[in-house]
Amino acid sequence: MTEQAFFILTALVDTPRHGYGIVGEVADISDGRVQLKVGTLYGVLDRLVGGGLVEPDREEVHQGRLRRYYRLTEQGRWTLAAEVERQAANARVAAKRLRAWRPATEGGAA
Amino acid sequence: MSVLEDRYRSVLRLLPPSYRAVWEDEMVATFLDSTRTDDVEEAEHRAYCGRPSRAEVASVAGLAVRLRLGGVDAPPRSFAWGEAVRLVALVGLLVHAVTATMGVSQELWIAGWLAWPPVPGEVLALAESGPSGLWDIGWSLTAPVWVAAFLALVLGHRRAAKMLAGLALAPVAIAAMVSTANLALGRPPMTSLMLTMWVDLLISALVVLALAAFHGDAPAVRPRPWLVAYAVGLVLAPVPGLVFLMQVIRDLMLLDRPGVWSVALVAAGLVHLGGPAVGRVGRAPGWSLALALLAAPVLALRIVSLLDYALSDAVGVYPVTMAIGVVETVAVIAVGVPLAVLAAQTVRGLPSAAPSPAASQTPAP
Repeated sequence: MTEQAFFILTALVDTPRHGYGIVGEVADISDGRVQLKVGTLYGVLDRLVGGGLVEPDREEVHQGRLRRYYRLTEQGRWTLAAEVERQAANARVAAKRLRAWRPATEGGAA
Repeated sequence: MSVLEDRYRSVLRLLPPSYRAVWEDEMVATFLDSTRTDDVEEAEHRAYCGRPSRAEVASVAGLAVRLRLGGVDAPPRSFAWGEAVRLVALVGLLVHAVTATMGVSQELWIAGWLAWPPVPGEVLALAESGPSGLWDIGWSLTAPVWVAAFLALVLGHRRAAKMLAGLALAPVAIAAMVSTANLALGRPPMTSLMLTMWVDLLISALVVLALAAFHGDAPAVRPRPWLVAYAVGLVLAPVPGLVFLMQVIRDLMLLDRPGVWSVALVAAGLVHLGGPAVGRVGRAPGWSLALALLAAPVLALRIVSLLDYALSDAVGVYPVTMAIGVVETVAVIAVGVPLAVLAAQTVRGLPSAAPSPAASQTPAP
């Protein structure tokens, strides 16, 4: 799973959002690190919809323009949970090794 | 419709029509939302003078490449186009890699680094006469980089392959521009075949651009056939290499580089067109399209090099050289046209891009 897909799924966990809502939420939860461009957002979104991880929720007209909201499917929720578990396990392994590491001059494993 | 919206919709025309039918209005709304501001004056300025940022355009262009040159999950027509462009990129890098390896080997041979076979006196005399131009020096510097780019692509290091191919192209492009500037300033040009040089450069640039088809969805390259092709190319390449040397010594050109590509393309085209007729092999849709695409630059190079010969005083060019070139041109057209017809029929017979699932799903109430 790409980082962009990970953050888009995460942005949809609590509530359905429209395209611009997803862009803003992803920027917020990534501390501004992931700034989705529109082409990138819809490139990922159509794959997530095609893969059954995300589905359209409702459509609204805002200032004369279409806003389609998307929500996470059950499959999307499981997939995200599995990805979170995988990343957490990786982080635990790395953190354990970093804690155990001591510079060679201090007599630890280098 | 504001000017900004109009400009963004123009950028979205890069995307396939079937995709736009589903997503365009939503993308426009999201884009315009992202440009919104509370400052009325600034909002008006953006609406009538604003343009989509380069990053926005790049994101749409990247999506267009992924959709039009499809990967493993793409509709068959988009996948066939993707496979064809990936094959063109692979063939292009293979040709560069073989040519570069042979060129470097030849330089080492003439410089006395290879013990066998002994270098004929005429070849040594030729190598010592006349200084190498900037074009030759640029080529020598970039040659090993083409080999590295080819191997990186075949072995699955796509990002490295793209960077290396871009790197290999840069010095050659600079050399071509310097050479043209020299000509414009009345200084002696580094090569008399200026048109050929620019077409060569253009074709190399297109090969590098074709590498964009190796995006995240593109299937992995099977390395073995391409490594075998590289080895076969190295075994066969000394034949035209020796012919070129003999021609220079004898001051009579019968086979030139565009001639080699023409013969290779005609042979590959005949095998592809005639293979199923003799019941030996089936035709992969990607190859029909790839060979048709390859025919265009080969034909362009053949025609332009003949024009260059006619306009310049290239060494070894006689009426027989031009006659052979014309025959090669006709042969490439004779094979290229049926290849193009076959490719068009093949592509038309494949299902085009299906609408996104978002369109087929009814939003929940």
